[in-house]
Amino acid sequence: MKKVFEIREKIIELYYKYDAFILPVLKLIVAFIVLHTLNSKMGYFTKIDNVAVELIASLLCSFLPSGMILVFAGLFSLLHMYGLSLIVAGLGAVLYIVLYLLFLRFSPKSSLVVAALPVLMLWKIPYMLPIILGLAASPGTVVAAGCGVVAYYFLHIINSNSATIATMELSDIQDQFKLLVDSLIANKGMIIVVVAFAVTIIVVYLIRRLPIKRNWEIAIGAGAVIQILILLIGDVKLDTGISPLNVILGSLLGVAIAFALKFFKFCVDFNRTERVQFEDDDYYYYVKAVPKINVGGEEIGRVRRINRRERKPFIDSWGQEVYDDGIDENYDYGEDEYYEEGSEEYDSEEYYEENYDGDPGQ
Amino acid sequence: MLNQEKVIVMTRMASYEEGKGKEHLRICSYFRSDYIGAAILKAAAAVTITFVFVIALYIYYNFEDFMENIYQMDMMGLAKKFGKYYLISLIIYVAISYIVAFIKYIVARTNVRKYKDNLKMTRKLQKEK
Repeated sequence: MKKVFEIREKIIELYYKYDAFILPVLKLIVAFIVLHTLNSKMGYFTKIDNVAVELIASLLCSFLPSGMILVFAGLFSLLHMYGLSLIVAGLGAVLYIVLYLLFLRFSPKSSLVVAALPVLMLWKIPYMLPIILGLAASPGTVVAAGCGVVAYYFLHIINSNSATIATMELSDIQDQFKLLVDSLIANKGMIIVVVAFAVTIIVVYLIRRLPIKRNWEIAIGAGAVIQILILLIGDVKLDTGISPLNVILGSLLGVAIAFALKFFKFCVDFNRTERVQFEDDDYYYYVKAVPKINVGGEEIGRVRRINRRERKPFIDSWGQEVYDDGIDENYDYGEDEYYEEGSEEYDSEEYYEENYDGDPGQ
Repeated sequence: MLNQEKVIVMTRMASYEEGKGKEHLRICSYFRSDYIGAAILKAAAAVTITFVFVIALYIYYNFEDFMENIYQMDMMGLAKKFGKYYLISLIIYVAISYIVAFIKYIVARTNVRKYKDNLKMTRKLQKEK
C-alpha cells in the first residue's frame, strides 16, 4: 500500500512540475479526438475530412481557451450537415443557437462537457460522466450534459437518415425538415438520458457536500444506483432501446474512475502550481505557490487561515450574513483609512476601489 | 526584511484576482439591482429570439396547411395562442435567470468582502513594518 502512495506522489509531483506543458497537450489530444470522431462518423463535407485539418484545428484549440473546442466541434458538425443538405445545416444551426441562448449561457465553463459527451456516447461509454461531474464540478454541468445529449441525438438522427436525405430532391426540402423534426421530437431515449444524467449529477453533488463520513463513497454509490434505475426503468416503460448491459458497465466504469479521482484528490480540488506577481512600496514579488501534497489522504480538506481573527457575521437588510466591515475594536485600521470628502485622497481611484462595493446605502 | 505573513496574504489575494476574482470583482462593480436587471434583460432577449425561431420552424413545418387554409384560419386565435405560450415561457425563464443572477451576486459579494478584508489586513501589516 505504501508503494501505491509513493507512485501517487511521483505522479502528483510530475504533474505540478510540468503542468504548464501537460494542460495544452491534454487540450490538443481532446480536441483531436473530438474532431476526428466527428469527421469519421459524419464525413459529408470532404474538404475538412482529413487529418491535416484536424491537427491544425486541434493545435489552435491547445493554446486557445478550452471553450474553442466546442466552437470548432460545432463548426465541423455544421459543415458536415451542409455537405449533406442545406436544410439540415439550417436546422442544426438553429438548434445550436437555441441551446446556447437558453441553456449554455448559464454554464459557459462547462463547454468541454458538451463537446466530449457526444464522443463518449458514440463510444458507448457516456454513463461514467455524470458521476465524475457530480464529484468534480458544480450543478451547472447539468445544463452542459443535457445540451451534449441533445447534440448527440441530433447528430445520430442525421446519420441514421443520411441515406434517405441524400436521395431526396431539392424540392423535397420540407420533407427532409419534417423527417428530422419528427425523429427528434419522438425520441424518448433522449429525454430519459437527459433526466437520468441531470438527477445523477445533482444527487452526487449534494451527497458529496454533506458533512458526513464517507460522503464521497456514498455519493458515488448513490449516483451509480440512481442512474442505473432511471435508465432501466425508462427503457422498460418507454422502450427507448438503451442497452441495460452498457448502462451497468458504464456506471461501474464511472464508479472505478470516481474512486481513482478520490485517490488523486488533487485533480478534483483543482489545486495546481500558481505563479503570481505583485508589488508593494519596497519590493517586487514573483511568487510560485505550490500546493502541499497530503500523503495521509484526509477525508475533509483542511483550510489554513493565516492570522485571521474570528469575525462574527450579522444579518443585513437583505437577510444575508455579512461580516462587520468597519467596527472592530481589536482591529486597528490606521489613521488614514477614511479620507475627508473633497480631499485628493478621497477622489483617488484607490480609495474608491477599496470602499465602494457596489451596494447602495452600504 | 520581508514580512512573511504579508507575502502570504498578498499571494492569496493576487491568486484570487487572477482566478475567480476577475469575475467576482466585475460582478460587484454593479449595483445588485443593475446586475440582476441586466441578467433579466438578456434572458428576455434570449427567450424572444428563441420563440421567433420556434414560430418560424412551426410555420415551415405546417407550411402547406398554412397556405391552403390561410383565408379560413383564425389568425387572431393563433396569435393569442402564440402570445400565451410566449408569456408563459418568458415568465418561467426570467424567474430562473433572476434566481441564478441573485445567487451569483451574493456569492461574488461574499468573496469580494473577504478580499477587501485581506486588503485592509495588508495595509495594517504594511503600517506595522
